[in-house]
Amino acid sequence: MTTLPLAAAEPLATHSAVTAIPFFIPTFVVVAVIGVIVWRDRRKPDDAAEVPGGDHSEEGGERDPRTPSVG
Amino acid sequence: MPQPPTDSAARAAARVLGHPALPHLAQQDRPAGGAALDQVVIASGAGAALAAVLLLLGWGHRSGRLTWLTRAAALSERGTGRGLPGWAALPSSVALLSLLTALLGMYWDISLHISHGRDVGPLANIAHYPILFGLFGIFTAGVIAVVLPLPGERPGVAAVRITRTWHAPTGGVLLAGAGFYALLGFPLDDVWHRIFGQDVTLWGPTHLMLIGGAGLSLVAMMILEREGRRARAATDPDGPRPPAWTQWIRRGMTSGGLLVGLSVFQAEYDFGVPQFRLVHQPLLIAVAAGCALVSARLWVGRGGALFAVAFYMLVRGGVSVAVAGVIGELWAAVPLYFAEALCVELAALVLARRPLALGVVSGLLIGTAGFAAEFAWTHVAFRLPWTGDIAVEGTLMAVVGGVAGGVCGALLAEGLEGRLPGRPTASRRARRNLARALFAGSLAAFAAALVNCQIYSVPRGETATLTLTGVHGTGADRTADVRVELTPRDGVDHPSWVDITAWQGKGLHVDRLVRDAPGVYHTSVPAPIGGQWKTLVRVHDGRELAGVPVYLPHDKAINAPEMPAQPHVTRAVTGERHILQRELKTGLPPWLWAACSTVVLACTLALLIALGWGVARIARVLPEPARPVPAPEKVGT
Repeated sequence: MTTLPLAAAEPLATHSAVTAIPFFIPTFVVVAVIGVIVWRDRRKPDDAAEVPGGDHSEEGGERDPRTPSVG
Repeated sequence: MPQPPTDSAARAAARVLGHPALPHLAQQDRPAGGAALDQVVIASGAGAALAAVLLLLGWGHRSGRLTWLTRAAALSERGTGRGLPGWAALPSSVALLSLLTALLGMYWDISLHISHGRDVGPLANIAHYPILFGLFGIFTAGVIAVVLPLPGERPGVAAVRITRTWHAPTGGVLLAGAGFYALLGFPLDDVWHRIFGQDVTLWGPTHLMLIGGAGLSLVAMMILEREGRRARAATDPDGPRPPAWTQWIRRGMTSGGLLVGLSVFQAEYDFGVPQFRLVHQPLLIAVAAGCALVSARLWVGRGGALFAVAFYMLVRGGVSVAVAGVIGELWAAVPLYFAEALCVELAALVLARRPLALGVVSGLLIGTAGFAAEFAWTHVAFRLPWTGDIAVEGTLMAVVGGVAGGVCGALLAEGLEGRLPGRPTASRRARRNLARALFAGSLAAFAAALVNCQIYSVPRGETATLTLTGVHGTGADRTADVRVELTPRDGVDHPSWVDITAWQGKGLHVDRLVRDAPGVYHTSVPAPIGGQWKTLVRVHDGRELAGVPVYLPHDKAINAPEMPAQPHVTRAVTGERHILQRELKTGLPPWLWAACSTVVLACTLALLIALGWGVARIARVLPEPARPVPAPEKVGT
C-alpha cells in the first residue's frame, strides 16, 4: 500500500504514455486533419462542390445519391 | 505450478536494441510514477515523424502523386481477397496482421508483469512495442480504408461522406475508430496510474480499453468485408464470381479472430493469477463462444463455428507457444472451444434458418454442455481448475452469458447479411426496434451477470497460522514448505481455490495446497520466500476472496515495508487486493474513482454504439430478402 504524501515525493518513473506518444500523437493528428477537412467542406457553399482536378466518378464503386454524410 | 525465472529473452532483446532498461534494478528501487523529460522529447519526435508519414501517404494517394497504396490494394485482391475490392481487402489484411502482433505483445506483456512486476521505466518493457505497433496498425488499417477510394469514387452504397468528393466505407471508419479508442487508452492509462497508482491487473478500466478496442475491431472488419463484397458484385455483375471457398475461409478467419478478441478478457485466468471470482471465467467463455460461434455459423456457413475455433487455436495456441516456448516467459492456457462449436453446429442442423432461436438454443447448450466440457478441460490445462464450488453459479452464469452472446451473434450475422429479426410480415420499423431491444437486453443481461460475479466479500475475524519448514537457499532462491492452519477451522468448506501464489520474483509459482484436515493445508512443493517474490496464501470460497501474506519484500518506491517470512506466525486473513496490488494508492475519495470510471465507460459505450450503428446501417442500406420460412415450423419446432 502507498501513502499519498510519500508516493508524491518519490522520484520519477514508469508510465505508459511516454512509450505510447509516438503512436497516439499521429493518431490524434490524423483525426484532427480529417476533422478540419470535414469542417472546411461543410462550410463551403454548395455551388463550390467540385474541386479542381475533377470528379473521378467513373472509376467504379456503387452509386447511391441517398448516401448520408458522416455528420 | 512453479515456473523458472525467465527474464533473459526480454533483457537480451533490450540490450540488442540498445534499450535503456536497467536490468539489475531491484523492484524496491524501481520508480513508480513519472518519466524523464528527454524520453518525452524523443518519443514526441518519433510521433511527429510517424504522423508525417501517415499524412503523406494519404495525401499522396488521394492526389495521385503516390501509387504505393494502389499497388498494394491490387495485390491484396488476390488469394482469399478475391471478390473484394482493394479498399476492403488491403485494410483487412493489415488489420489482421496488426491484431496478431498486438495479441502477441499483450500476452508477452502480461507474462512479464506477472513474473517481474511493474516496469523499470517507460521505455523498459519491450513487450509494449508489439502492442503499440499492433494497435497503431489497426488504426492505420482503418485510415487506409478511408483514404483508398479516389476522389469521386464511392466505395459501396453504405459508404459515409467525408467531403463532397470523398466517401469512405463504413467499416473503414469504424476500424479507425476502434484503433483510435484503443490508443486513447494509453494516455488515459497514464492519467489513471498517476491518480490511483499502478493497478497490476488486466481488468483496470483503461487496460480494458486497450484490449477491448482491438478485440472489437473485428466487428468493423466484418462490416468492411460485407461492404466490399457487395460493392464488387455491383460494379461487375457479369464478371466471374470468386470461388466460394475464398469467402468461407476469409469469413471463418475473421470469425475466429472475433473469438480471439472476445477471449482476451480471460487472460488472468489463462495465466492462473485471477484477481476476481472464478465464476467470471465460465461467464466470459460462454459469452465469447455464444457471440463469435453463432455469428460464425450463420455468417460463414456450415462448419463455420468449427473452423473459427480451429483458427482460434492456431492463433491463441501459437501465441502461447511463442510467449512460453520461444520467448521463455509464462504459459497461458487456452479454453477448449471445440465443445461449444459442436453445440452450435448441432443446433444449426435444425435451426440454421431461425437465427434468433439458434442463438438462444446455442447459448443454452454452451451454458450447460459447454460448461461441463470446459469444467473437465480446466483440470487438464489450467493452473486453477474449476471445482464444485462454482458448479451451480458457474452454470447459471454460463447460460446467461451463452444466451446473451448467442443473441448478439445472431443479430450481428443477420445484420451483416442485411436482415432484421422478427417476422417478415412485420414493418421494418418494428423489426429495427426489436433488434435494438434484443441487443440492449443482451447487454443488460450480460452486465447483470457481470455485476453478480463482481460481488465478493472478505471474511472477518479469521486468522491463519503459517508454519515454515525446510527452509533452503538465500535471496530469490530461498524456499520453504508452508503449513497453513485457518481459524476458525470450518471457515472453508468446498473452496474454489486454496493455493499459495508467488509472483513478480522473476517467475510465477502457483501451488494448490493439499488439505490435511478441515482448515489445515500444506504446500505440495516448496514456495519462494525471498528476493523480490511476493508470496501469499489465497483462499476463494463462494463469494469470499481473501489472502494471507507469507512474504512481501521491502518496496522503497511505494513506501511499503517488508513482510518477512517467519518460521511460525499468525496473521489476519484479509482482502487480497492490496497484497496483490501493493502499488495502489489508498485514501482517495470514492467519487474520484467513480468519475474516472465514468469517463472510461463513456468511451466504451461510444465504441459499442458506433459498432451497433455500423451493423444497423449495413442491414438498412444493403438489405437482403428475408430467409425463406423454415420447413421445421410446419412440425411445430
